[in-house]
Amino acid sequence: MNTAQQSMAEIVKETYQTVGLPLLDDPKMRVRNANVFYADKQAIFDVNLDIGKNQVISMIGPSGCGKSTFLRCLNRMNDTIDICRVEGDLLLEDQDMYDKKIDVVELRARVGMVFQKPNPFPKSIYENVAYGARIHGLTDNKVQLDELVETSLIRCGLWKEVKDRLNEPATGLSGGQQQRLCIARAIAVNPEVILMDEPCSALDPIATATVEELIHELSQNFTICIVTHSMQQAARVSQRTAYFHLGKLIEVNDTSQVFTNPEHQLTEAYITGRIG
Amino acid sequence: MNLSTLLLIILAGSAVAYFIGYTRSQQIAKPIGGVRNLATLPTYYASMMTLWALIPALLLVFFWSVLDGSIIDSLVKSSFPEEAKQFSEENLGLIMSQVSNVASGIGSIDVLGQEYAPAVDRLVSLTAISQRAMPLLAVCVLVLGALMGFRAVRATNNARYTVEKIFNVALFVCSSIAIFTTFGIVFSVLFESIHFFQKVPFFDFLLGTHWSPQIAIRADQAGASGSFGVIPLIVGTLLISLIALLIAVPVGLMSAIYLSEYATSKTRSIVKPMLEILAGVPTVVYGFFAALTVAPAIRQYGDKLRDWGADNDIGWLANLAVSSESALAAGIVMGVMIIPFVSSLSDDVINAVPQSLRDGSYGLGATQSETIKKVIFPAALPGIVGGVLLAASRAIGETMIVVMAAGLAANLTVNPLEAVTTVTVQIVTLLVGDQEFDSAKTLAAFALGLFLFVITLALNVIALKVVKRYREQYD
Ligand SMILES: Nc1ncnc2c1ncn2[C@@H]1O[C@H](COP(=O)(O)OP(=O)(O)O)[C@@H](O)[C@H]1O
Ligand SMILES: [Mg+2]
Repeated sequence: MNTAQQSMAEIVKETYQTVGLPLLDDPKMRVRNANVFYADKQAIFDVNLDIGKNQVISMIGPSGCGKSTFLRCLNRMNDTIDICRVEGDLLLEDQDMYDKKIDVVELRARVGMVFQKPNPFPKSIYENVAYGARIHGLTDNKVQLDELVETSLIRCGLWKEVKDRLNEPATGLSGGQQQRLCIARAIAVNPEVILMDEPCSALDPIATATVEELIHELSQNFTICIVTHSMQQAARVSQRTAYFHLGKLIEVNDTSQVFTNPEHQLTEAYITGRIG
Repeated sequence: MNLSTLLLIILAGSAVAYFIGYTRSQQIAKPIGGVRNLATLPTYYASMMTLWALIPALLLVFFWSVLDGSIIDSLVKSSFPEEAKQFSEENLGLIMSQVSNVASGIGSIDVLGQEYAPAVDRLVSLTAISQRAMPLLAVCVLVLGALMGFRAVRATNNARYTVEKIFNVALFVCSSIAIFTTFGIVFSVLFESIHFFQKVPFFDFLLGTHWSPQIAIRADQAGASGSFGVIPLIVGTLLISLIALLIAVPVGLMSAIYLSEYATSKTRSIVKPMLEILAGVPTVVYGFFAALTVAPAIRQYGDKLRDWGADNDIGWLANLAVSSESALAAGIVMGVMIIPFVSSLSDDVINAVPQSLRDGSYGLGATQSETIKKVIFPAALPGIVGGVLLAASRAIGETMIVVMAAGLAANLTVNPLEAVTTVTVQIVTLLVGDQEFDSAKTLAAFALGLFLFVITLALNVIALKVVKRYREQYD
């Protein structure tokens, strides 16, 4: 750690108290005093954050600051990592997500996830989109399923491109198409929240633009949390922005506020490119 | 001087050559301003000189040892008496070995007849010459080679390339040895099979439904002329392999899934090696386990079932006959034997399925078993099929268990409770008897071997193709 970083770390330690407006009225999700550990190593410290209904919130911050870890807490994807332990209260519409009685499977159907690298299943395009509907029994017959697949693909702007090749393997699509397919796959289950972990970092600029547009459209019906490395992207797609640093939530505010007039000196340092 | 002393001398000579080459290159380096002005490092010059000395000498020793016997033989044969010229190849061979016996002091010339005395003398003297000449020549070649190498130690000569090239060639030679051996085996089997098919028509072999390779040893002997229909053997082989796969595939696959998806890393580190111990048990142990434990147990259960069937008037059950050697017993035990094949190969391919696919499935709310059934298993399927095919070719080639547990009777049946036999078992039984080497019975073993080779080769090729296609999917 060089001296600049060291002094940053001290700033975090001394002045830790999330600035801005982390809390909202009537949010979709509430996170209170969240601490996350990988074995003995703490990755998230005391995070308090509300996630607004039908809004896009973006999470930014340097690599390794815990954005993905935090995001994965929101649909308990961290359960799949043996050494990971989550403490605190995480509520989805006033329901404790980490309650013993909660069915993780159902929770993940309500809070869907899109990953950094497009990860279509090695199945046909149709089967990829139908996957969630099949396991949750969302449709009663083939006609309904066809319809669901079609509407999901239409909503992701992919229908025109793939309607003649629904039975071809999804791995044959381009990267951008694959990522939109993964989004279609996620929305086919009709989730309430969609978590996206750097959904565009493996895509070229044109595919990125398409996906950003899609996120914008989806935000009318879904609550979306997106982790991104690109501040321009955060500025383009999100209404609120949360800045993380070394596992701590430093600042949350309206996106325009964060980028034009950051309150915290660390946020300012990050968006002006002094830490990255 | 014996061969190992000679080899030691050659090695020592090359070591000296290394030293000389090293010193020499430093010597030339000095007046021109140090090692950095040489085309390459002293060690390369030294290695080059060593190789110059070593390789020709070794080649000489090798070819001399290989060829010297046959050259001396033909020279000795040329001094056989006139009458020997009419003898057949085999007789000449016999006489030759008697001659060499006499030459080395076993047996006496009287048995052969005095007319062979010149041949014996010739053999003695030629052998002596050869034995003295070889080391001498080898050392000469060594020194000559070293001299050539010494002359090549020049400041402008980049010895590194030479050394690299020689290593290249050496590596190539080593890899070709394996290939040529395979070809050699295949061709020798092929030629013997052709001999066999001159005696037994190809289609009688391939399509015949009766296998009884008993051939009259003497022309006047009563008995069969032998029939060589391979179908009962194929059916027996396939039946046993099928039973084995029916056991091994589900068990192996499930344990692979358990190990790679459910087990904690601690369980895994204990269970996996234990499973692999199964692969280390000698097949003969499996064999007597099959013959002494499993087969009698099956028979007992079969008898009980039959009695019960008879008591309850269930006609077909009352007629149940379990032979004491059965395809079932052999198949079950063979299945246990190949479980680790299936499990460890499947474990590898399941682990190779990217974590991102699992995440994708869990992220959509799938449970672990749904994820395994619908994503991981289909994605790993080609690799698993590859593993199963490899296990199948192992099962088809397995001999010991079948010899001990399934019997020798070439019944054409698909009833797993009867005794059957397999291709490999028949090869063994064909070759353990006292037979002339060119009788149809012995040659049949080669034909069976060829047949088996073609089957397992085809299986392996398919398996490799399948596995390869699978690899392309993620990379
Ligand atoms: N599976 C894991 N096991 C152990 N430590 C992890 C694991 N995943 C992430 N971490 C650690 O947690 C911290 C936060 O990582 P992550 O959430 O991936 O950061 P980001 O997504 O912001 O780059 C890092 O220090 C990382 O090393
Ligand atoms: Mg990340």
